[in-house]
Amino acid sequence: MKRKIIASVLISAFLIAGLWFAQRLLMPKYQGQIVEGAMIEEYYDETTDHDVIFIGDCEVYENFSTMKLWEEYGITSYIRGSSQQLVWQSYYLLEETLKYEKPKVVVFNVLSLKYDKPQKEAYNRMTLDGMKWSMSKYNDIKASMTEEENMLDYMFPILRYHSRWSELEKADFEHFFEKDKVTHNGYYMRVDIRPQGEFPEPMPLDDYSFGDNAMKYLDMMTKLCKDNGIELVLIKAPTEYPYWYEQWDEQMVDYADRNGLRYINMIPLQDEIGLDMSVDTYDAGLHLNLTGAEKLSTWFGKYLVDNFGLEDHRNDPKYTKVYDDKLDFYYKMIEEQKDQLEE
Amino acid sequence: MKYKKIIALMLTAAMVLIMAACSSESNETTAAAAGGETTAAAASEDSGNEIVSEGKAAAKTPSSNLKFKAGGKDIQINMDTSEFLDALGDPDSYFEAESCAFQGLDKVYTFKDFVIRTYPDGDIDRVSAIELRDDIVTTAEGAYIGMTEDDIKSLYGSFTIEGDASTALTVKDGDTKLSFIFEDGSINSITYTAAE
Repeated sequence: MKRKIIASVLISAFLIAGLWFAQRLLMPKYQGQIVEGAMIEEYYDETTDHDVIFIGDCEVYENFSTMKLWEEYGITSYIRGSSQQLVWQSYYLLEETLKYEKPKVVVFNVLSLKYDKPQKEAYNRMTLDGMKWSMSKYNDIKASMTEEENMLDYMFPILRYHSRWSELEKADFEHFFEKDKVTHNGYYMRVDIRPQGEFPEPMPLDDYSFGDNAMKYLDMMTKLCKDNGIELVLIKAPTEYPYWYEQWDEQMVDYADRNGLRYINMIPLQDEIGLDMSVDTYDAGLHLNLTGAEKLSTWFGKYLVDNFGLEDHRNDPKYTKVYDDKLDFYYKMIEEQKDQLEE
Repeated sequence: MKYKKIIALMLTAAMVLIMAACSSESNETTAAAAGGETTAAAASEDSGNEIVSEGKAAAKTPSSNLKFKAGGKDIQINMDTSEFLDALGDPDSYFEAESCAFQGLDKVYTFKDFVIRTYPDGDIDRVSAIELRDDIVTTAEGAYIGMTEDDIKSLYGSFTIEGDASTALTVKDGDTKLSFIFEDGSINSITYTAAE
């Protein structure tokens, strides 16, 4: 009898391990051209806390250089950003982050408020698959799923990705156990330049009000920060496309006033920030490149220090070694990208 | 014996789950094809090593009676642009913006009197919005810029009309929302967008 039990346990363990290995192999690694799906999980490798947490879409992870904030002001920061991150995803990511640390300031980019309902599975996956399992992740999935998606596919990703078996590449095996770092504390670097061109005229809308669902999650985020004694700063990144309507801006000014928050629309501040969109963008004005992100971070770092009295950690041994290594990686990537451009 | 049963059950459950996932995906594709619809890339589209999932559902196909006519073609929300773009000739201007994480290009075709915006759906582009900018062009039902609230109510009497002329009147049908945006009592802009 005992032997049978042991055999059964071994078979079960073998089966579970086999499924786990298969799942791990089949899940996309996001280590090639599309690295955005690997960003969320990088946060769990952090060994030190952060004074500032950015949350939001590409308008945070492509526009703010966390390393510049460290170099110039000794600000420790992390960007928990992901592609087309929707406001409920930002809320649950923040809720999860607060289980690991308690920042002094949270910065949220408000462009995503224009979406009131789930959008696209591919983007959901890039945000959700990388999260560790918790109630925050469960609730995030529930809030994010499109009609065609289901919870089981998220709980057991092999159900979703099993068809990738015929598309497996060398990289799937290479990164089976460990992935390469793709960001610098959440900042996605691009050194190339593609000057901003002309944008099309914005389309008039029949209703400029942000949706109830989106605003519900902004309210929850505001409350979460207040309950934890965290300063929430609402920002609209300085890039002009996708269009940020004046009516949306007015709603944000009003919301910030009513809730005692700071809201900064950075679009009209491009000159003050020092941005030159003929050289500070890599995709014709949609996002900033390295020089743009560094200019914006220099400007915003001063704002953070002036308004929240953030401590300069540059001489704090708890952080110096960690950030020395991070800076090495930062400058190495700059050189690598420049070399690639020259080739 | 009891343990054997449990393990057998676990094994069966695991197999059923995987099989169910496989079969439901193929069913969706088959059902859509049987219905004469275009099917989307069912599971994924590889770009290097990364999966770019495009959703498992059958591709959206236009499902509205609200249409805009141009170049002798009916143009609808969610329509594949290859079905009509050539007939419209060259636009006055063209703009494209890469979606985050290489999810395709959002495109804007600006013609003299109207604008067509598109979104990527796998390998094809679909219409996300149509904007009428001049009174020379009309909706299929005959509405044009400059009309009044009463004109719209009489033209679209068979549809449910929401809103008022202080801001906008909207008509929804299938996957489409047709909006008449007012300024000083008359229509200033007409847009077709996806209905929520």
